[in-house]
Amino acid sequence: METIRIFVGTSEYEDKWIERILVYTLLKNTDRELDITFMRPSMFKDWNTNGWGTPFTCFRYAIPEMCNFKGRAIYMDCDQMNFRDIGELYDSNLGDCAFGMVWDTLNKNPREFEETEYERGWFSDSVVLIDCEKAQKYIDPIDVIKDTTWGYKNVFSKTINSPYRDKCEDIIIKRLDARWNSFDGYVTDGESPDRQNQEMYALDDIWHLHFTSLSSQIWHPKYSPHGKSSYKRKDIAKVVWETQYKVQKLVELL
Amino acid sequence: MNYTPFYDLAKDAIRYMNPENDWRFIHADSYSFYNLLPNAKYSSSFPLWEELHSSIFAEIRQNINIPNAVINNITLVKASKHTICHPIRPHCGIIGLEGEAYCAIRNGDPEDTKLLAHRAMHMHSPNLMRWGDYNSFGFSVAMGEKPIFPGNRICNLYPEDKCVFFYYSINDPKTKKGAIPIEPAQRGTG
Repeated sequence: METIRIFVGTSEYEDKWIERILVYTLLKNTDRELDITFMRPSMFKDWNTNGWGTPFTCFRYAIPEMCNFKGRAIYMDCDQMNFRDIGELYDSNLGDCAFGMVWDTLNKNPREFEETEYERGWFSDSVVLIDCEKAQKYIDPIDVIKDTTWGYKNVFSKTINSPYRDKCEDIIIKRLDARWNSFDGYVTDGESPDRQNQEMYALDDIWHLHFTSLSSQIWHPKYSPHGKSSYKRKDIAKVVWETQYKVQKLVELL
Repeated sequence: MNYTPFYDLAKDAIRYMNPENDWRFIHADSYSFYNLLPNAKYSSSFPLWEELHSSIFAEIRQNINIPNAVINNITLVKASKHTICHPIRPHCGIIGLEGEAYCAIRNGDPEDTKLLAHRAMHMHSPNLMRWGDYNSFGFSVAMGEKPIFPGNRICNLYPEDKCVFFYYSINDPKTKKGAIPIEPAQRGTG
């Protein structure tokens, strides 16, 4: 079986807590070989990081070139936890598309889309299955990405025709099952007007969880300026802490 | 005061939780368990906190002799050698657990003393300061005994490297029921 290349966007050291949980759960749920690379700021020292929301926002766009535009790779933010064999995501049928992503109904798009039908909704690039060869067509060389003022995210969004779904879905992006990027247990691609009314997955129906709400993240990384709010899903919090107890004991043993 | 739940929680929190930032304690590892704001309540999901929070609240209320005190913040702090503390505001308390720290309580109206307290956030040797000249008194914090609650007074705290303590805050008991005062720095921080 093919080794699965996974790239994790993360901070230098502030997210170790969740990184360990992510890696532990990825390994626990698969028999496949995993080749995991943490994309830390120290790997990309000369990048212009002005305007990034996290310490690692635009590193993900370097992946195809880092893989020499060959094979597949998975990108994920570090603030995630796995519940299902990541090999199933890796083997997903992308058709002729370069990327596999989950549709995020509630994402608020840039100001130019306000009060249009495109005000909300895009394909989220916080979990991405990448065909590195096909992706070359839609991503600039690293030398361009690293110097982009205020981040390459907007450039990439425009290149893949986001948020115009009809111009990117099944052409550039294959829509993944939303359980591969469930935002705090919500049905990420559910047809809901707001988070309060968005449907939730049962715990055993979440394949890969993304702690998207920075205020309620259970570990509160030091770089986050956000106030803290309680985590709503007690069942998820319980699993996270149970996993953390195991992970910490493992760390201390090794 | 029964320190057992405080020691138990601190031990497990430092072992299992991720160290956080708290604006009050610069360059320290902090672990926020509870924060009550007018429009929101934060309570950590850390299992031992959920188990112990009632007994911790009860111990604090008993210690300050305000049975109905509205506790609005509890944070564990582990200082580093670079830690600088903002002045501890009125109606806040410190429960020292480990290490060494020096404290200076400033008598007088907090409105008058807060500027001096801000100026003195960092001090090389607070134990050499003539605190009496500033209508204040300084002392080494006793760890595991004598929790500090200066009431309606401001104090400065100078923790040494690896000092571990709990910080808590209550609403001003004189405030009308239902009105929860918040400081500007807290406003909008969730």
